[in-house]
Amino acid sequence: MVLTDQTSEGTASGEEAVPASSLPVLEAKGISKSFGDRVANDHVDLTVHQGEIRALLGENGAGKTTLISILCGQYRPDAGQITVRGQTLSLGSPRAALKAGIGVVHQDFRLVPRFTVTENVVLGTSAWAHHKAESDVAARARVAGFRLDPRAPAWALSVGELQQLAILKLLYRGLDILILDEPTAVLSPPQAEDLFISMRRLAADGKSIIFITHRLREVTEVADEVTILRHGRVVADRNVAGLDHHEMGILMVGAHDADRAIAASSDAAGESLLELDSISVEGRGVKALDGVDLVVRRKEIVGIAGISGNGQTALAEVAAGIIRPASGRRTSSASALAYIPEDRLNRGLVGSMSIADNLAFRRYRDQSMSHPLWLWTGRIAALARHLIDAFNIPTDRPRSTVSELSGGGLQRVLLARELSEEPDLIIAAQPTRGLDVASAAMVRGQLLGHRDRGAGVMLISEDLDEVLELSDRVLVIFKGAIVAEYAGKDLDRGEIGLRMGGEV
Amino acid sequence: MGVSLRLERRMGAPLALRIAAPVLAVIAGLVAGGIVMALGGHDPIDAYISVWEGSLGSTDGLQSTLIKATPLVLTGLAVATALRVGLWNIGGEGQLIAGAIAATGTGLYATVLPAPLLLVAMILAGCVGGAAWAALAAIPRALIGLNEIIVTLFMNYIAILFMDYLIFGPWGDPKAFGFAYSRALPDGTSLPLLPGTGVHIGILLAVVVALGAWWLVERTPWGFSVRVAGGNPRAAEYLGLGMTRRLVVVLAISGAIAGLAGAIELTGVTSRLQEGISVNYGYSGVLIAFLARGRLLAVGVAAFLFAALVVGSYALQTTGVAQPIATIIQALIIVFLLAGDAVLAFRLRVTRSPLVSEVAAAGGRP
Amino acid sequence: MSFWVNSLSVGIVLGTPLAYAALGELIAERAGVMNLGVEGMMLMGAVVGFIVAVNTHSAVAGFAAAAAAGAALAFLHALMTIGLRVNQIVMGLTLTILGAGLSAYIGTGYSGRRPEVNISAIPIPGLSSLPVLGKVLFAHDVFAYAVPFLALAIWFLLYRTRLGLWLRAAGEQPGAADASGVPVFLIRYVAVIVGGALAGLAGAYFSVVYTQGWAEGMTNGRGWIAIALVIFGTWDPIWVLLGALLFGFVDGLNFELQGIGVPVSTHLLAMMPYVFTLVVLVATWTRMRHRHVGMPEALGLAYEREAR
Repeated sequence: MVLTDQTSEGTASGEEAVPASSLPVLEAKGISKSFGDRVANDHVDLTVHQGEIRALLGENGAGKTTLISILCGQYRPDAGQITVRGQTLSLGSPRAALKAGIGVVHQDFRLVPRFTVTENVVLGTSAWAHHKAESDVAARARVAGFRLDPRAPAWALSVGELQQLAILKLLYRGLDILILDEPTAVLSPPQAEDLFISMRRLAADGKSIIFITHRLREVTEVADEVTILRHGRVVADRNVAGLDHHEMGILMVGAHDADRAIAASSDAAGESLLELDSISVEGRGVKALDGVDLVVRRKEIVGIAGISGNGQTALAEVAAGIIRPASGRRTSSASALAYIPEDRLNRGLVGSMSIADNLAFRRYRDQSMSHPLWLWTGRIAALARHLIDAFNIPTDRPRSTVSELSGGGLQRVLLARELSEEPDLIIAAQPTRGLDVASAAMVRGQLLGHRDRGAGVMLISEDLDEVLELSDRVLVIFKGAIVAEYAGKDLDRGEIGLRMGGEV
Repeated sequence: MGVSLRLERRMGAPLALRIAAPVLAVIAGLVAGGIVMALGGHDPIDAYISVWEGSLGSTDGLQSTLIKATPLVLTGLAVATALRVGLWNIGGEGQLIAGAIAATGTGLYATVLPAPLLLVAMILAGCVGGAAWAALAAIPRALIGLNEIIVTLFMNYIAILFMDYLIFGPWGDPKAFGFAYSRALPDGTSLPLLPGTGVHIGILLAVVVALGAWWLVERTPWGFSVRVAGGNPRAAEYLGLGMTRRLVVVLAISGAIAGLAGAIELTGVTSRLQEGISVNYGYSGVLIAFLARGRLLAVGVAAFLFAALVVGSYALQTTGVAQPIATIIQALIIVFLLAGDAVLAFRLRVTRSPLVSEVAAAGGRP
Repeated sequence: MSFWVNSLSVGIVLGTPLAYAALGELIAERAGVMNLGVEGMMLMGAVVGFIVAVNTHSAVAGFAAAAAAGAALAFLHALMTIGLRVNQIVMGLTLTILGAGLSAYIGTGYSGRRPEVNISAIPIPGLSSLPVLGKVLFAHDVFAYAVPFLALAIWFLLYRTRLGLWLRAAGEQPGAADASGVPVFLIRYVAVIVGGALAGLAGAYFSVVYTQGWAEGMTNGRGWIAIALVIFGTWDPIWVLLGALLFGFVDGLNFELQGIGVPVSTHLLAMMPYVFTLVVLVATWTRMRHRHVGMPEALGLAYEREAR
């Protein structure tokens, strides 16, 4: 339980805190939610008081998104109850949540680009964008400290302004429990500072804020209280004042084997296969990659640890040679490159084509597979049958369309295609995400096997255990930059957790 | 809490359903068409019997069906080919006419060629004309992303009006006395007939083109790359396949096929360039391609059935049923097929939802 | 002089039904639903309006029935594309064919008959006797007079009311609209049905007012022109209205040119609006997209709440 009398002390906000006697505004008790076998939330308790900024901290997959989806009525929990100001909230109803005053600023903002600021704000309410609404909106923006022109079209706004607009939209509806879903993920540091100032101002004004993040510094900078989730459970519910970053980092990533050694040494590594030289990539207003230097050699697995959204996708695509960096140089001496993209179906497969065709994707032009005037369909089918066996793809019909497969089946098709060709450089982005235990073990075995055969592997994963288990060297990526590198025995799991959260 | 029905997407429908759905859709379309006829005071059973006898059930009917199927196979192929690269070619009508115009021009002005060669030249000119017309629509799409549906549609009207200009103006037959057709083409430029029948060899050409298009798209490395590009542009990017040229080339091939249909109608059926050389063949092609689920060989079957329905309905007049019933039945079958697809893609779920009063309360919040 | 006056005057008559149909399509498209079945809906409106007018001798009943017929066909489109998320292009084409077939079927036996109703021109006292302008602008029937008001009303609806804001949101970002509490599905249904009713009226204008007769396929591709006009007018009702009048004027010009035997081919002239529209589209497309005006972003896409 939260000790409310501590709330006013030592908060980073420095604002006058709400009287300590205030009742909880929102209380969630015993929230549980499973998707199939996966338990996303396991008896989660969460309490928020008026005027409080509560951080919700956790790695990807810790259950943060599920929890907020339950709070705002998108999901119905399997068990548990939520009360808002003492009233029981009807679960699984977005409208009931709105009525109770709960609003979410989603990561994608959910705005209409062609609408003006005012039109976006009033959309869905009983008002419409006339002059009175414009002055209303302008006034509310001023109160919240937002510099928004009520007549500016949303498409002309910066990311920071879009976020202000999304928050303003909630304020206009009179909502007073604001949930911000990883609001800083898309912001530059000065924009994030502005956001924190706004958050403190809103809290001082009596709003309650649930702030989702996985950056430790942000927790201490802006939050009063923190709830830390790991594997769907609450592992800590504390006042921020009494916590240091190291402790938070360990709580977030787990302390059970904090000082584990790396699986193999990098002594065996050979000549370099891929060199990235101060690579920068422009994202939406912020740098997706910022001066990344990186080398992948033969016979080594380079693990990239980090929490998603810190530039991993751009890094994978630059490494695979799909996107050109804004600056910097990529040199690769690899003759065969395998790429396992994070977004398998959209990036790596063609849903309308057959399983056999998808498996032949990279070699249909080879002499063994085709002549300019025809494809050797028999050979393509034979290849497919071989790979279906070797990778346990769950189908007996290679000619059926690939989109008929389940998620796990799709992954296996992609892995079979990419890893069956004896590549000498493998770029693997989240290769085991969403796989069952057996398949994940198979993938890890494959990567190790290719490494031992002489290939170089770049393994990008949010699963720190996986990175530690497989990698010869570990690099930590944070906000588009490599912030730390570990090799051999000088590895401290807690420290890596800290670095992933942006701590030095 | 109230109860509501909701559609949910599902992964892969059971095989039995996938087979049953189109069959049921066709039956439902025929039954619905029967109801329309019954409402009009006609006996649908009699009507369907005469449709059968007028199309597939008699030699004459079969011959007419084959002649009618020829342009439909080709326009259906044209649309299906373009769909393979993700483009909607609604311009089959215009490309067919462009092909007919090019073929007519060749026939009227390249008379130095001996007749058999001239015929071949006209057919080729038809392909080139259709290809050029389609490429014109493909270029803005490929370069600036201008929606190809709009452009191909507009170019239909331009082609039709240009044909009207030609047949009322420079190419008009002075002896036509206000009827809209061009001067007669030179002797010997009619498509030969299949031995022992009244069916011109266009249907053979159509079959050859269907096989060729199927081979090109499904069995060559280039076709493979086109299917990748059409199926998932992002994956094509990963493989380093350029989209721009593929879009233009594929739409040009699509147009060439439609243009061939124009040249065949000209040399096999009308013998002159004339209004109504295309009876919505281009638009029917879109539906045929859809019925065939974009599969090139299935286009032939769908076009043949389409043609049988149209030709069979000519026989309806003797039973007193108005001939447009054929069009109605076609449309109804397609509506049921579309609905069947939706049933396969989704499943109906009964869910509980908030009460209306809650909804109103939430919506009314300022 | 009288040549131009006649052309302009006929142009307004010919542009009127185009404007109705195009404005109807505009409403549906602004809500995110492309309905390529305008031609079919117009034909159904034409035949149903005509039959009812012939049998009741009431123009009002005829037009009401025409609107209902167009709306009924549009409802089918809505049911299939919004409810069942069927491809809008394929369904629209099917609707065109269904409308053409149904109208021809139920219209059998009505060709050659006359509606015996009188929608005559109502010259506006005073204004209609103005030189030139009088005949061009102030000697029309009530439908022609209503067109500018309809366009203005739609403009007002779209840009000056809450419903319009919701409708545009449904066409731009249905996900964002839904999250804001806008009833996206309901709005799309209503927009498509209203669009169909207007197309039905446009069809009836042809059969009951303009030609005063029914013939199979009598709208002769004008439904497609209406769709093109929405694009030409960059999805703005005022520009769509002007586009419809321009098309009508070019049509009227042909009509008059034929009358006086000018040696310029009417077919080439009739081609001009299409060529012109295409050239304008090509020239402005990149800029239009860049400036975020014009085509609703979610046009043609079925909206589906994310699968949870």
